[in-house]
Amino acid sequence: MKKILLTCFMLVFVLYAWAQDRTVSGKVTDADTGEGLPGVNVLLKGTGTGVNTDLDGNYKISVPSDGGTLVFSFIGMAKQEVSVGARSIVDVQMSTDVQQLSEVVVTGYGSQLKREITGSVASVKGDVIEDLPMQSFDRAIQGRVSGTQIQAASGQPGGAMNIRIRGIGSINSSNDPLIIIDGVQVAQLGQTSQGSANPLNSINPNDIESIDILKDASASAIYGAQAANGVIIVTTKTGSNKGKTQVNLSIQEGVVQPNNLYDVLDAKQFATIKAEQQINAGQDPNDPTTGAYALFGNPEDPSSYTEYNWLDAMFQDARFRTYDLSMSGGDEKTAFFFGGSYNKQEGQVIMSDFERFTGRLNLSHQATEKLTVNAKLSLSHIKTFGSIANGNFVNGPWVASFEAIPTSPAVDENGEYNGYPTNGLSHLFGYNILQGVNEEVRLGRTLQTVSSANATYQITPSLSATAFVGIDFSMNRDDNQRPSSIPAFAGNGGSVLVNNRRSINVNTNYNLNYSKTFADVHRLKAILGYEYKFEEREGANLTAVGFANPFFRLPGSGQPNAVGGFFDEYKRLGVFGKVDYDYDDKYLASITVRRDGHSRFGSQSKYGTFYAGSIGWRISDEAFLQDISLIDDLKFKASYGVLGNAELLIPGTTTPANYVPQTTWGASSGQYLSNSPVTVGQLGNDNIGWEEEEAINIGVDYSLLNNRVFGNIDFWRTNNRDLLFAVPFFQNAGINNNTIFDNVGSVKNEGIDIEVGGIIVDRDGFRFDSRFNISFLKNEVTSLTGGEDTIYSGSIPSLIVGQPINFFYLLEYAGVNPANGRAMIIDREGNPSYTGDFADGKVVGSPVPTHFGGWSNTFSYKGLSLDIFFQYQYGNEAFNGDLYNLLSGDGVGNQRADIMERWQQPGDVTNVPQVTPNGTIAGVDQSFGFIGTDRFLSDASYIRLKTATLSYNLPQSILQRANMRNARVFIQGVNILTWTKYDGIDPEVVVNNNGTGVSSFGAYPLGKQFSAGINIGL
Amino acid sequence: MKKIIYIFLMGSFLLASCTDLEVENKAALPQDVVLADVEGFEAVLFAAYESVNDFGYYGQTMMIAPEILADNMELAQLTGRYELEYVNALNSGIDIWFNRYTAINECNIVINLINGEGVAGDQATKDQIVAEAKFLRALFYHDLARVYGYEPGQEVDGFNASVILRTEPTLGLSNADDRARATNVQVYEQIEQDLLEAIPALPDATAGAGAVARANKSAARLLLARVYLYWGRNSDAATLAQQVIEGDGSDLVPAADYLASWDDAANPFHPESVFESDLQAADWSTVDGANASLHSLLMNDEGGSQFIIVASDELIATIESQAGDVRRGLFNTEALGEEFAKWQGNKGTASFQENIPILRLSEGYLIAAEALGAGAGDPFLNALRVSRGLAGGVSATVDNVLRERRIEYMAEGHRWFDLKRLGRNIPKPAVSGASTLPYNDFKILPRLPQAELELSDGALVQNPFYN
Repeated sequence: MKKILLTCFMLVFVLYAWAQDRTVSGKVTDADTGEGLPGVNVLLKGTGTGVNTDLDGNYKISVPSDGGTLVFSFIGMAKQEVSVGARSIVDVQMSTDVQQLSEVVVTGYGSQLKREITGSVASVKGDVIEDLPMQSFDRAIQGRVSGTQIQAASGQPGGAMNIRIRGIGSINSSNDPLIIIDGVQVAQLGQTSQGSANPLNSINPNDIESIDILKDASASAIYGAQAANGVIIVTTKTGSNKGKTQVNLSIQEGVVQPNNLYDVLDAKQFATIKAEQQINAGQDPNDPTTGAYALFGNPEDPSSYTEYNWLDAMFQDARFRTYDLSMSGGDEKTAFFFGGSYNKQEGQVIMSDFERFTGRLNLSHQATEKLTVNAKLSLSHIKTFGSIANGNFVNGPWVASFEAIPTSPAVDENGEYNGYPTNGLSHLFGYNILQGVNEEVRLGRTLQTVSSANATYQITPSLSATAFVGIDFSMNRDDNQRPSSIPAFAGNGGSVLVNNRRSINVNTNYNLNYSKTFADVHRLKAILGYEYKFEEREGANLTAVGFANPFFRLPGSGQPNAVGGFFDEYKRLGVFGKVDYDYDDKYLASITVRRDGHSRFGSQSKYGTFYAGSIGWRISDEAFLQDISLIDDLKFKASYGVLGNAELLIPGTTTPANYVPQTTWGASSGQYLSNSPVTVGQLGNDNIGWEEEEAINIGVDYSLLNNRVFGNIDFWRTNNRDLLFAVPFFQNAGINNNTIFDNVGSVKNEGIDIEVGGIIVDRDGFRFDSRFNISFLKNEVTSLTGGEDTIYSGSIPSLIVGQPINFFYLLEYAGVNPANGRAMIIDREGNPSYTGDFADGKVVGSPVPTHFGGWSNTFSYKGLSLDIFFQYQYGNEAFNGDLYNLLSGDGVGNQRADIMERWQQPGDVTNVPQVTPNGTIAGVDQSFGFIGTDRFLSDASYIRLKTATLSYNLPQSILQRANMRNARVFIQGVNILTWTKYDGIDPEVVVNNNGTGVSSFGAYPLGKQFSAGINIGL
Repeated sequence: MKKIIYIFLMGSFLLASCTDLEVENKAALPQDVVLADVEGFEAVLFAAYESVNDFGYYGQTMMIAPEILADNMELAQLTGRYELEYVNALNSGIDIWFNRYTAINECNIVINLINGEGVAGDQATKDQIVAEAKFLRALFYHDLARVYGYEPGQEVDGFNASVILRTEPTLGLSNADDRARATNVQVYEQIEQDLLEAIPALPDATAGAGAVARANKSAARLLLARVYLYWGRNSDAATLAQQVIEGDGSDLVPAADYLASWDDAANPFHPESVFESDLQAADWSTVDGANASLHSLLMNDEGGSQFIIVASDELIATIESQAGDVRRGLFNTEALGEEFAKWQGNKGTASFQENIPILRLSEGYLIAAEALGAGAGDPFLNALRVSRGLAGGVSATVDNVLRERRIEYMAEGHRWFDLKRLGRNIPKPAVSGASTLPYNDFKILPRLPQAELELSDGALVQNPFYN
């Protein structure tokens, strides 16, 4: 082999020496601006001869006497091949590469040109998300990448997102992808618990250069045990070694409006319903103490009640503003990027906001000819105040505001808070929500850095060694004050909870990179590395009660009540290697192997080996397709691999289960006679091991019609097996956490990811680009523990073989019997029935969409540009848990306005049963509360006009006079229009609790945003 | 080249320092450390004690559900809670299955492992702790048995399956074997055996003293008397009951002091209590009291209570049907109805808190009266009646005793079980709209958690008519 290589070298050298005999020169310019392009790589095809253009775009290169072919390449520009012929001057215009085949894609521990990749990788460039009024980049790339479903878990400013790459592969482990920011594998924890928080909030989206999403086994296998859920690699901006220092300033200001709030009953309608409830139950609404007229008002007598609009008091058109300043530049040896931002966004709920400062310094320095050092430092401070996250019980504004009694004013005529409700009944725990949001303190503050440093030593021109260390460190403090001025908290004299958390997460790796092209056609890239990671989280909290005055804010001013704390850690190490080979850019192959060890697993299975292989064939480079001008680039690819997932969670939580092999004996809650009790918390399993995902991908990348149409299609399937499962065992065995972790069960996901892009019009300066992506997804549980085909949660199936991982198991609602107003369901025999039991339930839908995606359109003419972006998902259902209360027809709370369609007299045809005080007719609960019916289940498919941006780039003539590099003014809207059949506020924010039938209870919906801004570059 | 070697040396040094996978679980300890001495076992016993006042047990469910499933309580406000129990809807029964088996396992750990080799501590202490664990295990099994099965002799259609008996600790998967339900008699025999073994080793405790927060001779005897009564072994019940009480009413709170006896500030332990669960601020989060305590559910408290349940008209009418009953004073009249004033929630400084009495001396009188029957039982019934302000001279028929029990233990969770053990139909308050639940209705027994059946490979049998 060595001999052959040597011979090849010799041959190349001889050819090289023999062939060149004349010089060609020329200038490379940018087709758009006409300016010279510096740094363009000019290569004589078939040789190793190459030069770069100078600052003005000029080059000079030796060529053989017959001229040969020159290849011009530059990042972001379409590669060009030009036959020299007899010319001695070859000028070239390069234009933007829309499909960006020459784009550099950041892959694991290195980077590759997009054209070389045989895996499935999607990229979003920073400019796509620039200046979008969103706090985290995951929100901004929603719908822009196929195979990647991103859904808001909360519409709260800075709220969490759910990201699912290629389906849901795990039942009990995390399904979150591995997110890597500048090499730092960030933790998904360590955020505030006061409201919904997104762990990616610490990164200012405007600092981001690119986001690369590794979807298949071949792309992600280098991350071994973290790879099964896909990998998202975020790279922040760096400075440039050339040109003068650039300054960017961006200012944006806007409003957020509540969108599509429930229409609830007004006072008169409300009083009508309450009186009717009593009449239907044979009670007297005229009774002076217990009658509805006394308690809620007489609908016929407006003087008998005071009307109050809770929604007006609770929600607001909120303001937000963003200021962003960055500077970048450098000299021959050093480049820097420096950025700072301030973002403040009020919530749709009064007295709630999100405020963030970020700072960043990215530096790279060429220390010696061979040694380069880089540092990427970031710091952010995030403050969230106010609102409670999704479904947080009745003192959450998204539950209480709608249910609050419209004849029970929040304040009296002097503006003082009334006790709630004013009729003295028990409702919403006696909690006046307006007073609650105004007087309760729910403050979360997080200081976080995601920073890294690395050094690369170029051992030989083709071999380098890199050492990297990255840290994700956060300190978080929550304050929750419940003052005694709120009656519900007066009993214990008010309370103050202080919670301090600290999370440190370090990963470090050392690797060797090898890259060499042999005989000009054999390109070999290899990487060999070692990685170590640990994460440590701890916290302590304390609560004090009994404050002499509600304005005391520190726990020391009251009496000690409770203390708590936690400590959690894990460690992981791995060795990995990857080899990429291609022959003449035509035949590509790649092999990856990684071996990982994890502290979370038993001594029997601490280590696991993961691998992947892939091949690619650029058929468009074959001679037989060379002459077909229709095809610019066509690449077939296939990959197969086995990946791991180790992110086991404690069931029902987002807390990692770090100590699975051990049987834990710990303190149980509470006390007895002032002694601390101890009990068995969890049984251990020393055999616990890795969750595996077998993934296969077959796809094609294409670019046709002179690069006017481009995209990719991927067919994929994943089989996740040995799922880490909290296997329930007999409750009667008597273990507190009556599960044992084991590797059982399997899940299959399959789908198709399609991306199509095109330049539809490009004429006379007018250009219309459109990009569309759609993903088809099918999810199915293929086996469960011990050969069972159903796993129950209580008496309701939570997992069924052959069904998706999440589904709704409910009674089928059959409407209301027009004869008597009673709700009916379809029983197991298929007959209408007034009563139903668990066994009458059935799977009636799933929250897993069958397809999803996005469609972006850009219209530009001269400096004017309009971006319109739609995002959609289809084929999923959602159970609106809010309606369980808002359409129950019972109780003392307010109802949604369509309760007015209730059954009143024989012959009424309606879906809403007769209203009664306790929601029962003849002793039967009309909501079938122990299981629920599909009455509140609806199709949650939607298409949303997610963002629209109209911007204008000021022309060069003005810019030059003002001495500016560029200036852009824009107006934009977010969540502007939504088309859906969902019976609820927002079809996007529908949190599903795995078949329990309770879904989006009290969810914080997304608001509509409108803003205007300016971006100036100097 | 020298440089390269240098860098790699540095690299390998870094590697060497980053290779361990050892982690520390600061929140937990291994079994051999926890159970090294008698204090460790006592801590496990405290976990079992502490569980008694869980909201899913005597902290709420066992006090309220048996009343509202029967005819003592009315739902005054609809918050979703107890709405199904109020009308005895399908799947609305009491569920203490998981809650109790966890505590039973804690008792099993203590009983089976404390006498192992190398456990530090003196034998007398060990013996007492074992006896306490046996008392608790008996209490828990009796509650499971009376919730999930028929009492011996009261079976409907001969269905005699009770609950699963486990007397060995579960410390690993191998212990969690698949078991069938024992018969009601087998469970009662186990309870009897535990109590008979516990009594000699338990200390004495004076009713109403702090010592009744732990198991004692009187508590065990009174519980055994209750168990015999449920079992239909009336003479044994009478014997045990009389071992606990004076018999002449001198150990009962006199009528004049009765109302004040429920003031937790003055009497953290009820003066008649022989077993009462201790509750302190550390047991609850700051909102547990307002959300879930007995005081919150039953009383209209300025401090944000729920107040969803009032006395049924039928209960009030029963009390008022005989003159002089001081227990009529245990109600406040509110707009929503008659408020139970038994659970005043004013122990110490923590709001809504109070100790939870489980066994009171008055029960000894009522057991003796019922077990001995008309004639021999009369003095016991009348002693109690006099101490509640009623006239004496009443015959201890089952109906008369049952009437007394209904009033004496209102809001203490006896009503449903008293009717059920006697095979009586369950009357309902008229305003509930529900009709009387016949004793032979399958809803007298609740559903066993479906997941338990699915996991059991068929060994476990569901209660009749649930599917």
